[in-house]
Amino acid sequence: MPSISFLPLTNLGSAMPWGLWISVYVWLIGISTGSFLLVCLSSLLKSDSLKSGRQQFLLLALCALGGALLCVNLDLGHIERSFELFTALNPVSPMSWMGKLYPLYALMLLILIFRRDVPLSRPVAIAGIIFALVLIVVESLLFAMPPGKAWHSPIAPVHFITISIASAVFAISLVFRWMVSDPEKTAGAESFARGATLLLALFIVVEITEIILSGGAGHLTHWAGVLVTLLAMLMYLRTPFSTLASITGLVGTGLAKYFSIVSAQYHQPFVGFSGAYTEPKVLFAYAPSGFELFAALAIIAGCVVGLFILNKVVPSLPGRTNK
Amino acid sequence: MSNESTRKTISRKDFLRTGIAAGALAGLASVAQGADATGKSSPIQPAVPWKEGDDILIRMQSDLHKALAKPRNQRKWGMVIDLRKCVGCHACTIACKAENVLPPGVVYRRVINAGSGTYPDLKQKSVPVLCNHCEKPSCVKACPVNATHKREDGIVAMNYKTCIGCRACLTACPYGARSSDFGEFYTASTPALQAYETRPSFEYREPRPRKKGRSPIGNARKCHFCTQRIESGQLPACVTTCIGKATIFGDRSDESGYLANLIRETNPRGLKEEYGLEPHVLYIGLEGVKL
Repeated sequence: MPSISFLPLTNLGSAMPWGLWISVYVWLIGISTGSFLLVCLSSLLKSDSLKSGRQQFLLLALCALGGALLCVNLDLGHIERSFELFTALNPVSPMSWMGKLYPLYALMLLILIFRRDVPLSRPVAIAGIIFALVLIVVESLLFAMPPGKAWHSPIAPVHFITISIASAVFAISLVFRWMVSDPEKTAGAESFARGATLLLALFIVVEITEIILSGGAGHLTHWAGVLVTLLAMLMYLRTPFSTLASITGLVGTGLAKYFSIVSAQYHQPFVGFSGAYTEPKVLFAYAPSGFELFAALAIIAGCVVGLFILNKVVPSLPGRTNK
Repeated sequence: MSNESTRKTISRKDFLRTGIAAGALAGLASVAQGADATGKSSPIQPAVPWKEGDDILIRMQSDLHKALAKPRNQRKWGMVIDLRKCVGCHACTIACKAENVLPPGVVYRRVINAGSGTYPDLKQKSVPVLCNHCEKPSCVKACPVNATHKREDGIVAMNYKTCIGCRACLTACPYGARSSDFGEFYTASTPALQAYETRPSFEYREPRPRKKGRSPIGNARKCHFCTQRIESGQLPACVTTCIGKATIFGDRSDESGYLANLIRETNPRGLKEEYGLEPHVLYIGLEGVKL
């Protein structure tokens, strides 16, 4: 079978192999697993905060997962061989484990969405929290394991957990506002907003720590994501569940992820390495191509449209208010 | 007299006929040996006998042939680069490019100009860097489909048919030794793609023409110690090309071999040893080099 690849349409290279698509993939997976984690957590704590929109938040997790997997597949050099991620196993490869965990995760979401007779009981909630944390940590190991990279940090798993939760907070708030009900009129929404603010503050602290530990404190790009997220958090504090705050927050966490992934690759393995051999595809320089931007935005838009369509099509849980 | 001359003539004709036939048979045999119809690497090329005082390349080739006589799992390929001899000509980079038909964006070996010493006693050294064929390779750990694997002879190899092109191995390698083939050609924007780009390489002993829609386009690629050459009794291209004879290649497990002796005598070091990857490309004269 001839190979299928969109890489020739990107500005990626051998020196900068991962760019916008991998950043969007990680960001969407964070939204997905973070949303699932928060839904399970609120169930475990017997909180009403996310009860009314549970169906929508699980659909959000499912759509974000689908978008993430589409994005990461787009980034392969041999898309036609992507099935090998499910069939081959390298026990020490985080990506190999992700290929096995994602289908299980998708199945779990589908069961919880389509089977009303499977309640989010305490054991299910605990299993869900553990599974979501495992997914996030395994994904963080993909970046944390390689020696010599700025990602190689003991704080990486914590960083990934907090950014996933922060992204999910903003995504859930947006879904809450636009698909569930007016948060001001919904029981539990205020407690969610309070809890969310604390989680966002925790993310800001962890992100700043990660920037300092990775040696990026002197570079403005490293701070772009955390500053935008900090702004979003302040907006959220002022007006919880505001659309502008939520979108700003999603942009902030997306930027944080993008600059974290891309900027770490600017670091050359040796002094003078880039000057030893110079060709366009081995330069330590990267800016997404038009096609990369278009594809990423299309996938994100597809997730949003998919969410709205599924929300109309899938039977809802009792108590959901249609918007 | 005429009978005698006739006998001589017949003898010369017979001799010529026999000689031509023998020569043709010998030629066919050599062609059959050197050109496999499937394109697979030819059987081991005969080595030039080595004796004390001969060129180091002949010594290395002799050691190579000794190693090839052993089962594969008893060979442990390694390399030592003598930075005292490297002149920074980059011939090894180009030889590798030519031997493996490497496209734009793919480079297996590059030569860094590195400084050493402190002012005013400054020096410059040329440091070739390539895949170190580590004992504990981080790239093998990262590969989700086992396309990158450590062979029993020590070479960290790629399976081009399995690689999905995720480039996790590129980010996992701390030496920047890996490349990704994005399917580019040097002569793509010219009126015609040139044959020197589309001709097959013989990496891993298989003919691999570079065509869109086919591996190795889309794959991760890296130095493999010119497996197609060493398994047919030839030294890697960078070794034979080096004008300073700075690159030494051989079987680390051969205690009497040139490589093992050199390692014992000079105690060379690897790059980034602190990562614990145990590289098998070692350097003489690395002390004080700022990389």
